[in-house]
Amino acid sequence: MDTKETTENTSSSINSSWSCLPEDLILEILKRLPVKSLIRFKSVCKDWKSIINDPNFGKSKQTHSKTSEYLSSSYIILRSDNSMFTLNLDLNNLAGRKNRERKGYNILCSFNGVLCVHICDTENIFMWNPITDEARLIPSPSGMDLTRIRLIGFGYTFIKLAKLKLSRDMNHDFGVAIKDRHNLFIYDMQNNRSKPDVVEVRENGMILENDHTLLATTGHGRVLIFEKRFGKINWLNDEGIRMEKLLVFDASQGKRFFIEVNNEYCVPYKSGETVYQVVNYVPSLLSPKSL
Amino acid sequence: MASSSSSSLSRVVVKSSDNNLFVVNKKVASQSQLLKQCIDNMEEKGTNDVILIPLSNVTSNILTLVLEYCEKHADFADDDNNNQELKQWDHEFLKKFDYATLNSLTMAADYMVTKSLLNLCCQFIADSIKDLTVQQIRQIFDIKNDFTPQEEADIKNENAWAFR
Repeated sequence: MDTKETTENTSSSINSSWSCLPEDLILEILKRLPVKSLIRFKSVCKDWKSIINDPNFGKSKQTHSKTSEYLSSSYIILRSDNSMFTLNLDLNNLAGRKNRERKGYNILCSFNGVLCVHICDTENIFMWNPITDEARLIPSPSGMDLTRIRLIGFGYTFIKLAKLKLSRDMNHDFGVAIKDRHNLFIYDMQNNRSKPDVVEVRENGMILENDHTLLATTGHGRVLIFEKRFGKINWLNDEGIRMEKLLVFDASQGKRFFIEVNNEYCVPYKSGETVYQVVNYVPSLLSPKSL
Repeated sequence: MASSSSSSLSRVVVKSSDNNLFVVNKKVASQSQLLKQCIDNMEEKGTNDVILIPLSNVTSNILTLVLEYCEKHADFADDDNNNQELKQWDHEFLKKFDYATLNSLTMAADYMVTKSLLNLCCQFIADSIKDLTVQQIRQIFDIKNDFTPQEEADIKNENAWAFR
């Protein structure tokens, strides 16, 4: 009898001691967990699931990047033979590995840890988070030659582009833009529909911009995305040639101008290396499905 | 250090929730932003009396631990933060405690705004729960599973790789 009581006391004191941790301290602890644990702990209860799924949580987690093996800023490098490898990120540990076995794919861009991937020889374009292995299919734009994609970007506000007004609502900041030689397709992830072509497109330059991302083509078929948030250019053109100038279009003011590209903003590139694309990749828990 | 004026205090007295008094060197107390704030406020007023700071949320056994931490870190205050010896000490320090103590210590660190101790505790807890099962987590944090069996199965299926 005595023994039993003691046991019960002990277990209840352990329980109560942990359950009385205030929510902000629970959050502090969760932030420091590796991604794999977090994915598992989504099924603990609804509260934890919504904390972990919250895009802001993924972002705050990045500030603890030093503490987890998964959470270091990385580059995903795609070579011209479609082999992909990473620096500081071991994709072998990720379920997304199956994508390696496919015939080929292009990483078109990345934003907050979500990659935009085109599976070669198909119409399929996915938003894919390799860390959580969640993916979302983007309906393929009709009448576009996906083998000749010129430009894809996402993470900007087309609400702003449509109305030339700035939307501060983060939820409106996500979309996909795909451009081939002649057409521009913009897909609104938030509302699940295509948007009419409201962006100025020119052979010599096109522009999409929000607080985080500036997307620009310059003349000579060169394509660059400048991600202000990380201060890095995250896309090199086919020849790996660094751009020296970026065309900037300020949609809210209707002005365009060039900016010089400072070398310190450039991704590392060794001359002669057959790097096809370099994506500055910051792992996150952002779910493409929740965009 | 030498610049501190003659009117400033060198020691404060901290009172725990169970009414024990601790005499604390100012440099040590300054490791806690809460204590530092109290001291700064008093010094601004030009008080020469000994300051008594009551901490209604912290028991004396936990306060002892926080002060032990502060004392060690005050010794290293002028070093850079990456001191290996200090890191080693931090780890050994936390290793001694059971979950209940660690929990109280975390809350005390939060309350007393001792940021580095709070970081240390949260990281330590995270490290010690990261490999637990969902069931164990629910038990430890006393969380009720509010998913239907179907919902739970769906989450597990979606993220099957994380459960391997």
